[in-house]
Amino acid sequence: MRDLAMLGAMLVFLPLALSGSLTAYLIWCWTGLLSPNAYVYGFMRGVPFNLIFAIISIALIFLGHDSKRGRFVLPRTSILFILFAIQATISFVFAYDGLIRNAELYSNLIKALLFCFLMPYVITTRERIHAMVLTIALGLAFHGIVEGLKFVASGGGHIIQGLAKFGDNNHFAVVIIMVVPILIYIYRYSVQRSLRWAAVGGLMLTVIAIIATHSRGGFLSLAVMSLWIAFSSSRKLLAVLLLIGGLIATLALAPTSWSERMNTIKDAGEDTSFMTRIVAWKVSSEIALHRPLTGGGFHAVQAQYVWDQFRQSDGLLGFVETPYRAERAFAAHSVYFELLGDLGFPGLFLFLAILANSMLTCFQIKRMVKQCGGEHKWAADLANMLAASMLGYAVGAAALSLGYLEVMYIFAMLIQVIYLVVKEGQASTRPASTTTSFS
Amino acid sequence: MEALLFVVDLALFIALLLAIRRNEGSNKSSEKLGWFSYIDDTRDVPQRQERRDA
Repeated sequence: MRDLAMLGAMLVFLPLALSGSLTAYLIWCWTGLLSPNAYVYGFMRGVPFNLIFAIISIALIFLGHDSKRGRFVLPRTSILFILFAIQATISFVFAYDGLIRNAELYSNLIKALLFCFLMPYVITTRERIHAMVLTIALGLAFHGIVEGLKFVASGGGHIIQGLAKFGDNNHFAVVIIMVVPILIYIYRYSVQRSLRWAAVGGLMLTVIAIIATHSRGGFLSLAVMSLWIAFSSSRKLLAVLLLIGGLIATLALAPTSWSERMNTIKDAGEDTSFMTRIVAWKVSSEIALHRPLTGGGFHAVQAQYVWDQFRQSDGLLGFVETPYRAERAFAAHSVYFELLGDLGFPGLFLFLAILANSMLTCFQIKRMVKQCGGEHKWAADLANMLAASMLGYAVGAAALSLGYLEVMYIFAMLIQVIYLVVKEGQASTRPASTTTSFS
Repeated sequence: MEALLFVVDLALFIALLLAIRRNEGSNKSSEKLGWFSYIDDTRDVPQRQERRDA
C-alpha cells in the first residue's frame, strides 16, 4: 500500500517540483527528513527520492525563474558552513586508510551543507519560512508520532529501536526532540484550530516516543530544552506549571523499566556503558593529538586498528580513571569528541562556532524585533524555538555520535534565514534614504 | 497503523505543496495557504491576546 501511495505521490511531486524551485526544495527537504525509503518495503524502496529532488532543485535554483529568489549573500552561517565543508574535505582526503564509513559520511555531510547553503536563495519570505517549518514538521514529527502511537497502542510494551537513517534509540530520541519546539510554534501561529490541535497531538505523541526510547540522554535533553522554552516564554508561570504537570504525569504513567533506566543517571560513574564512552572519548582525543589539523577521518575511532593503536592512551582526559579498556572499537559517543577525532581541532572549533553562531543570531533577531516594537514577533518566537532545538541537540548529542545530523545544520541555517528576512523587512519599511542592502 | 499514518502525512504534504503553488501565483500571502495559513502577528496575535484577556 505504501509503495503504491508513494508511486502516486511521485506522480504529483514531479510536476510540482518542476513547476518551481520552492516546491522542489521543500520536497527535497521532506524526503530527506522523512526518509520514505525506510517506510516502503516493495518496488519503491530503491528509488533515490532525495537525489531526484536535489537535482531538480539545484537545476531550478540556478536556471529557473523565481521572482522571490534571494540575492547572492554570504551570511555568517554560510561562511562557517563553507569553512566546515573545506575542513571536512581535508579530513576525508587525509583520513586513515580503510575507514568503512569515511566516504558515506563525508558525502552525506556535504549534501546536507549544500542543501543549507541554498536555503537563503529559496526561503526568502515569511510565507516560505512558514512552509519550510511545516515541511520540517511533516518530515520529522512523523517518526515520533508513529513510534508514540505504537507505544500507546501496546500499553507501554513497544520498545523503540531507532531508525536506520538516524541510528539507535538514543540517536532517535535526540532527533525527534528537535521537532518539539517546531510543533509548539505551529500550535501558536496556525490559524486553523484543527491544525493547532494536530500540532498538540503530534507534540504529545512525540514526547511519549522520547520516553519510550528509554534514552537517558534524550530525557536530559528534553528537560533542558523544556526549561529553555519555559523561561523564555512570556507566560513563565503557566509554562512552569505545565512542565511540573508533565513531569508528574510522566513519572506516574511511564513504565517501571523507564524509571529504573533514568535512576541509573546518578550512578554514571559506576556504569560500564558510561565508562566505555569515556574510553572512546580518550581514544578520539588521542587521534586528534596525533593529527591535530586533519583528524583521523570520518568515524576513525571505530576502525579496529586505529582503536588498537590508541586504546591505552588517555588523550585529553588523563584526569579520569578508566581501568577497563575495551578491546573492541567503539563509536565516539559524543558529538564533540566525534568531531575532534574525525575532523581535528579546526573541525571541532568550526562545529562549536556553528552552534554558538546560531544562539548569537537568535539573540540578534530578538533584539531587532524588540527594537522595531514587536512587528516581527513571529521571527523572535520561531528563532527562540529553533534555539531550543539546538540546545536540546547540544545536550543530547553530548553522549552520542550525531555530529553529521542534517537537522542541526538545517535549523542553524533557518535561524540565519529568519535574520535575513527580518532585516530585509525592516529595511523595506524604513525611509528610502536609510535603506540598507540585503546582506 | 504505520501505513495509514504514512499516507496521511503524504496527503498533508501534497496539500501543503498545492497551497504553496496557489500562494506563489498570488500577491496575497498568508490567506491563500488555506488550512496551513498562519497568524500574521502584527494583526492577529494582539487580537487573540485581547480576547484571552477579556
